[in-house]
Amino acid sequence: MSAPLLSLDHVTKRYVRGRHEIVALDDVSLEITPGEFVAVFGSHASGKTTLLRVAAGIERADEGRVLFASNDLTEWASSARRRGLHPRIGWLRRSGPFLPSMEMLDYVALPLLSTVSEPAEALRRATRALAQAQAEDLTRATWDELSDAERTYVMLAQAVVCEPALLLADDPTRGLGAGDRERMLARLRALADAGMAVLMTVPDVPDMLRAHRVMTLSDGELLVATAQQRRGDVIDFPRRRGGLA
Amino acid sequence: MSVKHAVLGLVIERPGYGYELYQRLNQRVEGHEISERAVYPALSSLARSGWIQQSLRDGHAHRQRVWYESTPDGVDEFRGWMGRPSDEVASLRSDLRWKLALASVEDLPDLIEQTRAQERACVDRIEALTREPQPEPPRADDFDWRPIAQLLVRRSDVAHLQTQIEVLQAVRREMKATVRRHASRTARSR
Repeated sequence: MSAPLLSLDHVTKRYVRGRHEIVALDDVSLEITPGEFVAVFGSHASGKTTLLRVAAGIERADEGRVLFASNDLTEWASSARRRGLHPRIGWLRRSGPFLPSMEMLDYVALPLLSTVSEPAEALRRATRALAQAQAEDLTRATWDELSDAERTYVMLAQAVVCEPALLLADDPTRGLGAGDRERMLARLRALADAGMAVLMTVPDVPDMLRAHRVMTLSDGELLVATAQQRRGDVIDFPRRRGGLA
Repeated sequence: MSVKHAVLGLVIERPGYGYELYQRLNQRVEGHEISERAVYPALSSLARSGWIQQSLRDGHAHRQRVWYESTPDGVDEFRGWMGRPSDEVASLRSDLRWKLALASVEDLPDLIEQTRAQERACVDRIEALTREPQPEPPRADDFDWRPIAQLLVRRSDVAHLQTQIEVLQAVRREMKATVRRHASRTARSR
């Protein structure tokens, strides 16, 4: 198994709301390797969004450590307001362009403004990102002309335009019907098959079937499959063959 | 099957006659009708195991009726059952359901662990399904019904697991909250 790209090691995150303390993540440990598609199921207020924000380095963990490509994201999060997202992490957003007349190719290229100085190069990369999201036919469309599903594909293209190693998608199928959901999930799976690590949260179990690994989150507590637990055990405690019992 | 242990739990809570235990059992687990025919064999079996003892007492109109009381062995057995993990793929209708109905605050930490084990079993099932080949998503401009139908069937296959996971999560959340409240009250009263 390859080395983890992202690892959360005993991460706890609390919020204080008035007199109440809310534990959004409760001793969560998780590892994702490149090319893995991991789906986390949780109902409302289970801690899903916090999990992704901590994994993105936008939110600082109170306890534990978050490592991304050997960088300590716990430290990154302290200055995330100034630095923004780590350049190798993509975040699936949902909002349309500020200018309604903007064409989707330009909109997808927007995140490249600060890093790519050559406009032609930016547009070339945006075209490639739209192709990765299987949305090449939407290049010249404006936001108002798109269906909900098409908007999601465009946002997917924008999330991957900087060629991230890790894509974070919080409830990427929200508002879509069964057919559109499957089309969106198949696109995420295709990105993983091409080598990107994808961490996604969903409020519906049937949305997890195209993932490699599934987990559940409730009350900030992450539960993984027994096999994954065992895999951890085997690494920690190599079984002895023969010899003394 | 845990009707036996449910009946044992009720006898431990308060000794009684057979018919009365039958009524109490059905009050405790509403919407899950248990027939009288299941309760009497359970009582006999519990008595044979030495977990309850029976004696004759005068009932109405000087009729003698059988009175059931728990034994120390019975109390041990009941606590053991409460702490034993349920069959992992069992649905909430069986073991865990009875345990929830008959648990006291002291049993909750064990039951919290059991809801985790059951939820993990659900995750195992979903993960096994992810390893099966997935149907191609239908094209947006496709008029064929079959790919959509195949997909909907696949989605409905796992929908019941979501219900089960949601129930386990809700139950665990309430149990954890109860344990916390209980702990802080115990700490205050010291």
